[in-house]
Amino acid sequence: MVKNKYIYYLFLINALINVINFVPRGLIAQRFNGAAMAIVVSVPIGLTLMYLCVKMMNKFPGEGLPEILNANFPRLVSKVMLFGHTLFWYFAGLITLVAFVDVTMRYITSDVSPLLIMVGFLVVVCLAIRLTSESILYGLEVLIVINVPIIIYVLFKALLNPMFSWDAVMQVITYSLKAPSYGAIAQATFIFTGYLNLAVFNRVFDKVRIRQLWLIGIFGFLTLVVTVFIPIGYQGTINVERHVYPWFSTADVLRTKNFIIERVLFFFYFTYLTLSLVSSIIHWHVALEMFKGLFTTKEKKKRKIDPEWWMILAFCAAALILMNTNQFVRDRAGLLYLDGRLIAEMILIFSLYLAHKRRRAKKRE
Amino acid sequence: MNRTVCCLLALLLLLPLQGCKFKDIDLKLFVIAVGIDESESNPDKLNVTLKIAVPQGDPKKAEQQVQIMTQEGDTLAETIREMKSRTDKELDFGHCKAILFGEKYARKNILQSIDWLMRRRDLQLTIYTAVAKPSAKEVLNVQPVTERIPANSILLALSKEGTESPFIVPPAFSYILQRRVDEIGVDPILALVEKKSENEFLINKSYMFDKSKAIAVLEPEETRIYNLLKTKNLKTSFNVDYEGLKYAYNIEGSRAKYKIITPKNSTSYIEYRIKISAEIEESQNGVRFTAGLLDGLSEAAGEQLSERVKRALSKIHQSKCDPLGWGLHYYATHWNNSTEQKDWEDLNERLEFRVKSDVKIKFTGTIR
Repeated sequence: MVKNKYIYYLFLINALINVINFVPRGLIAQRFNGAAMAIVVSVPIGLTLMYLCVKMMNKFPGEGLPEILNANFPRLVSKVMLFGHTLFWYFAGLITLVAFVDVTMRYITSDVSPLLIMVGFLVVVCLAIRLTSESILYGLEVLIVINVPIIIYVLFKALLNPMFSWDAVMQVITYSLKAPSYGAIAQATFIFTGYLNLAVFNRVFDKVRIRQLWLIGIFGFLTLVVTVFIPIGYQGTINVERHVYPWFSTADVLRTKNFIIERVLFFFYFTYLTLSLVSSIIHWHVALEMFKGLFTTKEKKKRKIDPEWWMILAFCAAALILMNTNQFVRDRAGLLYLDGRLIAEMILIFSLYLAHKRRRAKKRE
Repeated sequence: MNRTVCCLLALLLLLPLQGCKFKDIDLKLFVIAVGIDESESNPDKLNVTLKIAVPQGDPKKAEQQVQIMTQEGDTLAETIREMKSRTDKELDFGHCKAILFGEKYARKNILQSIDWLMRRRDLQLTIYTAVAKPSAKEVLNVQPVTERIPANSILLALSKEGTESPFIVPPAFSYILQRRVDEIGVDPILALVEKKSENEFLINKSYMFDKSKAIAVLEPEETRIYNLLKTKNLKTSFNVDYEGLKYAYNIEGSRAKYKIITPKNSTSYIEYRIKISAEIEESQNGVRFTAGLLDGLSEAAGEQLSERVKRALSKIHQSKCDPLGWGLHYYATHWNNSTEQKDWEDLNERLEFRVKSDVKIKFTGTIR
């Protein structure tokens, strides 16, 4: 059993990682059509979902989603649901990995083949996802403790620069009375989603308790504001949407005259490299456990080769195939994933509620 | 079984260790600055000049080796590829720090080169940009005697890391150039680097752009006013005439703010408030100062500065460029998003300027 604090790390990693990929791009694309309002709206939505999920999960101490669904739903229904969730978690990890291959290519080593980088990442991730849930949580803690100060340093660096255009930020804020689209809300709520990994990590928690929910709300809100508005302050209200990775462009803009290296980009890259690898590990760990839950039978047969390896192999193969897409397909897939995610999240929480009701009914009989 | 698999995996991981695809430092030439001119023979073609630093062992040694190459071509990418066959080593743009646009080229259209600047992945976004006169090629050929590291002098001047001249506009990094090109309500402004002789250049003017092309020059005095309005605590001094004598005061702290005021039934105006605290740096005839003289001087200095700022502002306004970003500021402070653009265009036609400068000369230097 691990301590209660790890639930905050699970939330944090998702909040921090959202910066690199589709969340800023999606919200920035809608900056004149209600992105600011979406940020405001997403806080209560995210917090409510988080509260409900944690509350439901507490009804099943020490159990993960696969066990809960398998025990309380008909076989077929639970299998379909588990498969769907596997896909979502798998995509969450995959999107981060593919984006990071892209970033590595573009900003660090333009001469190395992307295949080699992807294989390198896959080796690390695949070896790590088979670890126990506890050790993954401990690793997560270490990386967060190391990286958060660097991120805070970069943020200060960004905000205290005279080149930052507050007028551009204000101009976007004057558009904040527009009603947000569903897509914008789905993207903005993504940063609160970290708690959802409880679906598997609940197995190692004794009883999850979230104190100071409002603090998480404020933190999430500030993260979203920073995510969207700092790139706008540097790249301008119009130009910002032309950047493929707005946050890496922003890191490239920053300089530290009196530090080890002049360009902030490099240590920003390494910070986010470690964070995104650990985030992928968490997502794929959950996906793997869900996938395993699909095949659990009452009596375990001894097999020669662990079926886990076949699943991991399937993960890798799909990853390598999906890497051959072009930039615009990836963009659309990423945003589609974020749109679907919000609904899947609600379905998951609702199914937990149903499972809880069914179990109570069964007990009463 | 398990152990063999692990060993095999470890061996597999050794494979990528054969060496990365980087070229070693002795196989590279570092491009420090790029100059872009219009070709003399064909106005549709570009004339690209690269200033290349040759890596050396000891940076303390004052000998510096610089190579300058010029080539003509249709696009920047193509021209640079062609130049690669003229060198024995790989051209590396990772350390490229400055792009100069020749005056003639800047007056036509610089969008193509900005696009290249932003799109190319090994170029930083923090590259200094400037306009060069008479041409980028000739300015890059200038070799100041004071230069210690190859091609460093122009970077030090433009970045203000070396000299902090009040006549050099704040560094126009490539990302700022692109941001101002795209943004509605603010226009680019670049420093103008002039060749004075074979080993001296002069940077004290600036060029205002209307998005894609250079329009008008700001003279040294106006450039300094622009800097005073744009940067906090500008390091400079101003002259003031008071009761028939000349004085000079040095700025210790300065701050400029402005408001766009739109009264209901008269012409709208921009009100600048400049706050300066200063000390006397020089006086004619060795004047002895009293408290009364200091106050009178402060007042006169404020009035005279207001006049100068007003003159500079109306010149900037008449050029139809907006390097100070008044338009964007107007949009940022108005919530009627659908009409604000037209409103601003209307009131920008007849805009007046009011300047209130509050100069407080507090000290007389080390003597009274």
